[in-house]
Amino acid sequence: MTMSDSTFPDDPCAGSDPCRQAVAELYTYVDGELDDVTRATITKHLDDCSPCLEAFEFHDELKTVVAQKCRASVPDELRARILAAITADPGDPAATPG
Amino acid sequence: MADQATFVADTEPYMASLFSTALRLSTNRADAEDLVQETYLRAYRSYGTFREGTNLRAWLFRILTNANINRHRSRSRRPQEAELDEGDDFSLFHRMRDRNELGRSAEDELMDHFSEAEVVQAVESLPEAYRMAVLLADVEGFAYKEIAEILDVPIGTVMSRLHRGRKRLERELYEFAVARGLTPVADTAGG
Ligand SMILES: [Zn+2]
Repeated sequence: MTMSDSTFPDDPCAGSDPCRQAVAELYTYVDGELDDVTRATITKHLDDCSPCLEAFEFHDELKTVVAQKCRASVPDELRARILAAITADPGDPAATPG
Repeated sequence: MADQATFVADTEPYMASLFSTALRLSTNRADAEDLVQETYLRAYRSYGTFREGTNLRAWLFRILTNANINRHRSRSRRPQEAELDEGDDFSLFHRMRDRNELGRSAEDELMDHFSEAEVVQAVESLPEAYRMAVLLADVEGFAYKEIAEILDVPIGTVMSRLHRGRKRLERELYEFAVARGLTPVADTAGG
């Protein structure tokens, strides 16, 4: 039997509707995908509910961690190789000179 | 034929983004470099079809996605969308909180909790479709609608891939933490 980690069984607010509604929108909230009204409702809940706030901040930070640690810079050699390839390329064969 | 200088000026600012994504997709530098070069050549050749005023960065990522699919035709393009596994419900937050790994300023510490190599390895362990959704959302900051267009799937599919990708990523990260002894492994015996 698997146990779901997705609820907050240990929290005082466990099972309360506002918490469940907030957690259901956790990703859409941290991804900035919510309409203004829903976003404001959840923001208000987070002001009042520290367990939810903690969870939301954690996921927001995790996004930042992934973003920062997955970035790479372009090797100079690759940049030069791509520019050379474009210069040598005849371009769009279907395009007509305008 | 697209003016070379214009094309380069327009698209070069996105090369680092495209290369970062290609690197996490290909997992090795040579393949990633080839993929980015192919993306630029394809983009250059079809630049006439790009509509001014639309999202150039998303257009380039769509080309990269298609070039990547082309390179690996033998691999299945789509994951089993309905397939769930136990990792899909995992919560790193709750595991870490329950182990008291989260201090009062947990948000600041999370960055130091995992090394770059661990995060990269966790991302690269994801099935490709989930990995791509996570990269586009978390690293590149694309909106769901843009990701849907880049991957040519419905928004609901983007959301479910993101959800599963993130949950699996959390599980991978937790396993690194446990392996390092950073968090107690008291619950490994239970079920
Ligand atoms: Zn709450």
